[in-house]
Amino acid sequence: MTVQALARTIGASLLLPGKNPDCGIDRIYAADRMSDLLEQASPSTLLVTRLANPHLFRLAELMDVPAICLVRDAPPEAELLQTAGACGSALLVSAAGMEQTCRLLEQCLGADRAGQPA
Amino acid sequence: MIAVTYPITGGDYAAAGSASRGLKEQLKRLGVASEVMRRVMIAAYEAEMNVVIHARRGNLWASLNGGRVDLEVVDEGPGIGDVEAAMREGWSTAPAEARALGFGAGMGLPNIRRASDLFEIDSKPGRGTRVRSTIYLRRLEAAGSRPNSIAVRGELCQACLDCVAACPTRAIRLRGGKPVILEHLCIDCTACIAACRCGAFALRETEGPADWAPAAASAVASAVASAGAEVLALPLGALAGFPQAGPEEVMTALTAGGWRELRLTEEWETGVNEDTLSWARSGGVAASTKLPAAELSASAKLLTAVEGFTTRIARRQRLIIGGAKSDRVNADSPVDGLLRGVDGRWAGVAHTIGE
Repeated sequence: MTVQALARTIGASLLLPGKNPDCGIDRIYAADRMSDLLEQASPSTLLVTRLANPHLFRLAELMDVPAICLVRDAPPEAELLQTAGACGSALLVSAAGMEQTCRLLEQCLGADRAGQPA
Repeated sequence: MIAVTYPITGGDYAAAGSASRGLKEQLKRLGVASEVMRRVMIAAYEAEMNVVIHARRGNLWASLNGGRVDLEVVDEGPGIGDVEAAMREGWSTAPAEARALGFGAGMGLPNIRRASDLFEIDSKPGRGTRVRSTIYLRRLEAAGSRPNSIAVRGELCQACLDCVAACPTRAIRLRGGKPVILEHLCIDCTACIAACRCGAFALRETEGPADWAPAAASAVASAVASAGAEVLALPLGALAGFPQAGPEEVMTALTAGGWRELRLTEEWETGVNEDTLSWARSGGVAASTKLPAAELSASAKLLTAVEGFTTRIARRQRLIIGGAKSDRVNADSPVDGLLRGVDGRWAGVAHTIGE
């Protein structure tokens, strides 16, 4: 499922499309520890976190993460968007909190796997 | 071999990650596979952040050689008083500044160990910390298509464990009283053959040409080719970037792919290879004068090893010494074995071609 489709379905704002907007997302992983995100990152994983800092985007660049979703209580500062833009990952901001965002994303991916509309 | 070093400044969070990013760029140019890259980046980034968080300064050193990526991060920091505790998940002495950024959760060292095939840490209070990580380019599934050169004859084993002690990569396990080689760890150094007194290890036949070479070559070519170029220059380490392939086969496939000329950037390696081919035709044992000083120094210890090695492969007629660009020998070459440098020492790699 593409980042754009995921963002549209869960009602998240797509602040940055990323360098590869057609990249398929088949897994989400949520955490607030950099080590956890680092270990679970992959080129098809969407990371969900409250860690809205430049290190998150450097990590995403190192691990070829296609997209990051920040949540309602951790919106990005304006200057952070510059770092995010350089790393090449798409950036979403969910209107929901962490748990609800994960629930919505999982529903989307589950429906996509089953070939059903989300 | 290719080796790089990046300095790391303690406390410099703004630059944190730049050493790992530099390493990634290097490995990407060499065509390192994405899963290997992922594991290298986990190890490199965690180790780099440990320096930033805890130390005054440090260095990240990495090399790609002989089918493996080696990382070493050495720092001038406070050192770790209880290394065993530091290896447990959740154990951390990170300051609040690091924790606020999501670091310092006590997962760094365990993450490095999980990502590594080989892992070492050496630290003492007041003397800094040294972390070593090795990640092999060849995965378990790849090993199936390119088996190791060592065959195990378990029925001859007397469970003396000499092979287990001799193996430099800890690739040998004893299961059911019989030795088993973990192929993804084995580097074909033949130390087990030399150590075994009951003949339970032997060289086995290698496979014929496989059909993966064109795909490997295509990957290299697409990564580095520019329109209209006729000469493809490759750092030597690039040829190690294909876990299922020997460098010779990658070179052959690249040539077949239309490049007029291929150049390797390490001149002395090319020189040694020319000698290698010459010896292969004439037979005998020799060392190339084109070996650089550091390699020649290593070769002083080689002569004894050569005798032992040739005894072990007594059926073979020709043995080549030197940093040959391939650890596999072309199927139509008369070469029976070669020695090459592995981690500063010489290891034998025997090939059973031309019975």
